[in-house]
Amino acid sequence: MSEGKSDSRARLIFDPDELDYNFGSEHPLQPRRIVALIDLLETCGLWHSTAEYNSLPLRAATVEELSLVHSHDYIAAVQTLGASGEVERQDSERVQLAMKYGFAEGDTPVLPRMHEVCAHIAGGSLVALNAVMGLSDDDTIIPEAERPLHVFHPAGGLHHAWAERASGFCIYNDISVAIASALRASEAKILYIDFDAHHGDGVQRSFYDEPRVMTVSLHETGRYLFPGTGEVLEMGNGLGRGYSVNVPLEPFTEDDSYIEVIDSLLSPLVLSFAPDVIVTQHGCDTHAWDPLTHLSLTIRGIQAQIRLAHQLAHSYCQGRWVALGGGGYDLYRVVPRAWSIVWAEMSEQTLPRQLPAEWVNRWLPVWSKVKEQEEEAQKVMGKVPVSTHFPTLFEDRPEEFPAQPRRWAISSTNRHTVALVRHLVLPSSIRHAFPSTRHHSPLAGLFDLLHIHGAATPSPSKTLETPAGPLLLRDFCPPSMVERLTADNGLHAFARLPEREHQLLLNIAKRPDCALALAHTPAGEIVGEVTIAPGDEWWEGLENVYEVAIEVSSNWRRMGVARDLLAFALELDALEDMILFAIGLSWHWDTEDLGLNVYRYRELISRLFATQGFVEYPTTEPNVSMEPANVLLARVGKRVDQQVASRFYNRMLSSPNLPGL
Amino acid sequence: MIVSEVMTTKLVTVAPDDTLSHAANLLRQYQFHHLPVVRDSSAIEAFEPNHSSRRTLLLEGLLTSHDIELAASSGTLSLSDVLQQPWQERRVIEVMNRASIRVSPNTSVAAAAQILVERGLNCLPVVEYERIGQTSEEQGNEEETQAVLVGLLTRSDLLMALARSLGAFEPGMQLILPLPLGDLTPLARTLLLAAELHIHVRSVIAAPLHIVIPLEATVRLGTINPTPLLARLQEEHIQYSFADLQREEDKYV
Repeated sequence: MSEGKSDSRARLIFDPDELDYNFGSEHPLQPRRIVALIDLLETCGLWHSTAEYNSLPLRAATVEELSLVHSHDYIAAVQTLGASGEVERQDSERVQLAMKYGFAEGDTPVLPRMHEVCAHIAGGSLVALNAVMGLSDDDTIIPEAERPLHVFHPAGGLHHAWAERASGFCIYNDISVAIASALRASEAKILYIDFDAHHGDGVQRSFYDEPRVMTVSLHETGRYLFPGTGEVLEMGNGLGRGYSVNVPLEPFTEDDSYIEVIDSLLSPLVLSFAPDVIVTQHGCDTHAWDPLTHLSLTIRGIQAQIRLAHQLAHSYCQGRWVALGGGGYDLYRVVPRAWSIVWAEMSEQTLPRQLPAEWVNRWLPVWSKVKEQEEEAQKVMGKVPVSTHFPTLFEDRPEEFPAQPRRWAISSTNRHTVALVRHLVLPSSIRHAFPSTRHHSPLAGLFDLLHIHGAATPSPSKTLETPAGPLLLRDFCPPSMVERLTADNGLHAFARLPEREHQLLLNIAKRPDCALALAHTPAGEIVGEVTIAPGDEWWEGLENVYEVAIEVSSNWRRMGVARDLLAFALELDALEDMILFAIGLSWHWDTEDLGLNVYRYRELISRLFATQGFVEYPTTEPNVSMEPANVLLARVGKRVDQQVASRFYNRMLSSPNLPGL
Repeated sequence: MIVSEVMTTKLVTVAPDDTLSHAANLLRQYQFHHLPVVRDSSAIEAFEPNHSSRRTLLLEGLLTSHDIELAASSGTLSLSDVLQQPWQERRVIEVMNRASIRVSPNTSVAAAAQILVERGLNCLPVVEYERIGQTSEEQGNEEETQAVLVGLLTRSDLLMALARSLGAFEPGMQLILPLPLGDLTPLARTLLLAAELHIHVRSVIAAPLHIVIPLEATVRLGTINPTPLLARLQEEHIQYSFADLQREEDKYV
């Protein structure tokens, strides 16, 4: 049996010392949940604590490593407060210190030896990330083949800790420490996805201005729930703007809506950011049984989230994936199952359907003792306790989770949130390639729409002479044609890599409601594209509003390709029936390659679009108005109805909320 | 809350004789819209060792970006002027306003906010009146009370104060307590219970919005684990709502 696994490249980090992260028997966060998890894994034969091939030893993080994230004063206070023999003392100096650093607030009380224990946990996550990145303690790089591909550290994921404050059961932020240390030692870009029901505020704060780390947090809205932050508009600061992504979900969100959210957001986000490694936090307090939150997922939704993380790591990061634990306060019914699934997914083992009877026999009595407390907790949170059973299967039984009364309203609010996030953080051509699940009106394809008067003409083409050789321009490129072409290596503005940009173009070509015009060399290298796609959700309810996006390979700039390609793509007379707009966002601009500052670049774009009759409009659209260099350009066709046009003008100046939200 | 707790004290100022081009540069560099115009009385200071730790800024007026825009646009029109001076070279003192509406550091924030709203202002200089001048006996009458600039209160400062009062910069959860007929007992009990359970209160808002009594209190609590508190509230039959189904439904009615 171990034969097949010995070449597995997944590791799980667990050290019994981590169980000392224990705030006492009355505290909601109990290390026994990890004991129950390890017991379940071992009982199922999925993981063996003694076997080297599936585990990784951890070491404590050093003070120097911790100080990448935490202030020296804070670390010193943690050391002082937790020093042995001192914990019980209550002199005013200690009380002051505890108050200053967030230990006096009940949630995160002082622990004996807390510096050592927490440095251990931080070290676990740090070792995990270093291992996957091939970084070793002596600064040598470990060859790809000898590295583990995935590592799971269930005791990690303490995402609420701030630089100088303990908060929400978290003392040292193991996630930030691991990421900060990897940032220092390598050139990697790191994507962090936080699935915990609470907003990942600590990690977001650590990297709020850092464009090499994208933090994505999906959580219950902070309208009521701790920590109260995580609004969509918290998008990062300075250079890091656009690299903090928040998806606040409605209370009582269920599996279907949740799966729709992650499916329509995560892939395009990963594609646009192009990380080298993915770090995920799998707090399972999103489950309907959790006593501290209001999300209503079942194991089905949690499993979808875990699978997607695994799949994203393989599609975009050569498999490099670190998974961490996190919240999860239904200690025995949810945590062991949810995190067994993380490990099974990661190590590509199949879970049995049934929970092993001997495990159930061991843990059911433990749960029975806290059962009443749990039910009480659910009630005071405003949830209806739905099940009073101990599960016997890994999966949840759907019949135990009655539909939430406001399911429709909740899903539609979540859909609006996703639309807003997509609108704000995804570059337009990526959005065009990953259409949201919104149902489009059963209109004819854009080709038919644009050729209403004579559909007989084939897709036009044209040859353009440039100083670097001839280029072929083609409109309405069908998918088969895009497939036969390749992307020039300077084509990376949106998806960062030419191959992915090519995939993106292919996706756009496949959409009947989009038009794709390409410029390519006779050898079949795509050097530029213009896409025309229906306006996204911001423009919902307006007819005939289309967004135009343009890109030219960095190898083919300054030859007028953009102007000719744009003119070519917009040549059709039928476009006079439409409203076209283009949005220029300074953070997507390749100003470095061109050696221009953003204001010159803005001018360049305005001039380029002006050749096709586009005019700059003031707008309240949140992305454009966020930065003075950003610009919205639009062309209202000559035959557009006056009323339609004025509705478009109104929309440009409407309040920065999505319609209907 | 008084003005001195929320005002801006790191001031960027101009002198009356500075050029508009200098002022415009400052406004652009710091992305401000207002510059206090001050006379530096450091010369006087030299004789008063007690005050030497602080520069004394005597307020002359306020220069807004609007003032500069006006000067710039009129500059182009008045070509027939004898001076024909480009606006960049004009002096601050020529275009500033006197900023006659001022507050003191001890003014309540509520009063200052009301002034800003009523007068449609964006910014108020905060001044202390000090007696400065030759205090020799013969010239006793010459003694002058001068406005010493100690800070600036802008709408942004008020916004920050509001966000802080709401506890926005601290991690926390929100609990809403209905207060039937404006009875504050449920709020008082909740606060006592929170103190008993060592739960920090980040902010309490119970302000009347439409009628004279508050009907609802919003309490921001610094905890991820409200369960013990909520259980006690239920025991004591205190109504609260915390993302509960009923309230969410009401929004859609």
